[in-house]
Amino acid sequence: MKRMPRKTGQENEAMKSTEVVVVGAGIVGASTAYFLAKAGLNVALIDCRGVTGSGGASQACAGGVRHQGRVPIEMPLALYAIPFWKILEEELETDLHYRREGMTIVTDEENLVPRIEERVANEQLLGLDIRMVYGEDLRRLIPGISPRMLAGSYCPIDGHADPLRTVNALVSAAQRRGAVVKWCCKAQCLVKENGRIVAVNTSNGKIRCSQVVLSAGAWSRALAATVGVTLPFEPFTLQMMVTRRCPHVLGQVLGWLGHGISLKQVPSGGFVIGGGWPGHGDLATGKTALMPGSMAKSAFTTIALFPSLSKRSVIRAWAGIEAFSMDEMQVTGPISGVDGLFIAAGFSGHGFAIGPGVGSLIADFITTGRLSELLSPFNLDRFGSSGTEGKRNAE
Amino acid sequence: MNSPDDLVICRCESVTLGKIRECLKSSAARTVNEVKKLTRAGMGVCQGRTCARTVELILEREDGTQLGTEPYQVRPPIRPVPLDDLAAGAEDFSEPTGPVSVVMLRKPLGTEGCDETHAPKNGARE
Repeated sequence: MKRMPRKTGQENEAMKSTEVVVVGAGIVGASTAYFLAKAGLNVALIDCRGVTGSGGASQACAGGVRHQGRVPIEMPLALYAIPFWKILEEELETDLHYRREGMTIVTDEENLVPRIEERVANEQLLGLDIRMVYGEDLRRLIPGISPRMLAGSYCPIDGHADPLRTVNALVSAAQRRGAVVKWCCKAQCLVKENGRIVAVNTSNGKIRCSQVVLSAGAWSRALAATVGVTLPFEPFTLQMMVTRRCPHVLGQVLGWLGHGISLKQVPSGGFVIGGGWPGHGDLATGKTALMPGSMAKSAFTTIALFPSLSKRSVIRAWAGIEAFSMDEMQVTGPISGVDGLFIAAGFSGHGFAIGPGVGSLIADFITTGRLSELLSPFNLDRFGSSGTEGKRNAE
Repeated sequence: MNSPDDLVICRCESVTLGKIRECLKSSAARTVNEVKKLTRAGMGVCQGRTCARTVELILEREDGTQLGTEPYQVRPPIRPVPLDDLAAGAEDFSEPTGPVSVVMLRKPLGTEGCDETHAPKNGARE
């Protein structure tokens, strides 16, 4: 294949050594690399895919940036991390299409209203700006929502952003700050000597380093195993759809309790439809295929939630592989017995909103040695001793 | 190639030749799919049916990429389909039984005593 030499920020010769290797250029890895480079460390961000990645969770992300509906133990992290989005566009010098016009999770079932009310009360106690909205108030708040919806939890500071623009912007900003980014560079194993990380073996050769941040999503499990660490993750492929551009009628993100739907209208006009519907994926190749039943059921749910969309056309569906941990919460933290290794994966479908904040906290840990309390609930050892298949503490 | 920068290549998303050239110069994009994701050429309503071939030619002539190296990834629907047409067959599908978040029955960390069996874990999936 003839190629003309490329003059870009990417180094063409093999990289021999650096301080920190960040494995995986999704939202968490790109964020971490950015904040590490900003702090002045020598960072290499590597990804087995090309520049815009394919198959991972960040590229099949609905782009929601929400506080509500998170497991309570994650709320402090969300309250810290989500405000990053207010300054991110300026910091990264890129339009991320971030909007903060609120999110409402609704129900059409009378007996589920108290369930939402209870969650709202708990979230208010945790410090979140959120309230219940009922009946006519709900219809006035969200014109176009199905009249069968009875009530919803409205958080005015929830919103959404564009995952593709965001990850690309973080990578570019990391490069401007001196991070070296290696595409099509597949981490094959981590190398430890005397209980500490000394290198990453990649398809482009060995990179010597003193720290590794393992943020390779579903692919983290195999890499962690190369140094005897067991990550209790399962890969699930999640599917998305988008419609053609429509006149703007929806500013909020909508969810529907008990139904798989996350509905938003993005600034360019399309409706992005998520909701956790499964697709087919092959971890070994990263290739995904669509499950037609997911498209059909997701479409059905969308129309039931927002009936005026029934004639709007879907132009694209796509899918990506996410790592779900045994308790559906991320693993973040250093690993005892493997000094220099930091795991940041298994975000189980809710990593996008908190990704930049998490990246900042990881950079803080690597530069100061102190782990934020915000990350400590997600240490690997909650599953039992690392290195063995986890016993769930929550069982 | 002597064509001017302001030549519109992707008319659905108004992506010009200049924008594609800039992408090839300043990023690591090497395939039509990567150029698509960085410039939006091919992400509009026709999903590249009009411009894909042109973008491939641009890559060949401006960047030396051999034609046919990696085609535009085509996904269903191969033309726009109204949501109600997609939804019409929903009941006929035995798979999936539900979204991933509802199917998984594990108890999330820190929700001991919290009965969210009806709800998808973590509320709606983003």
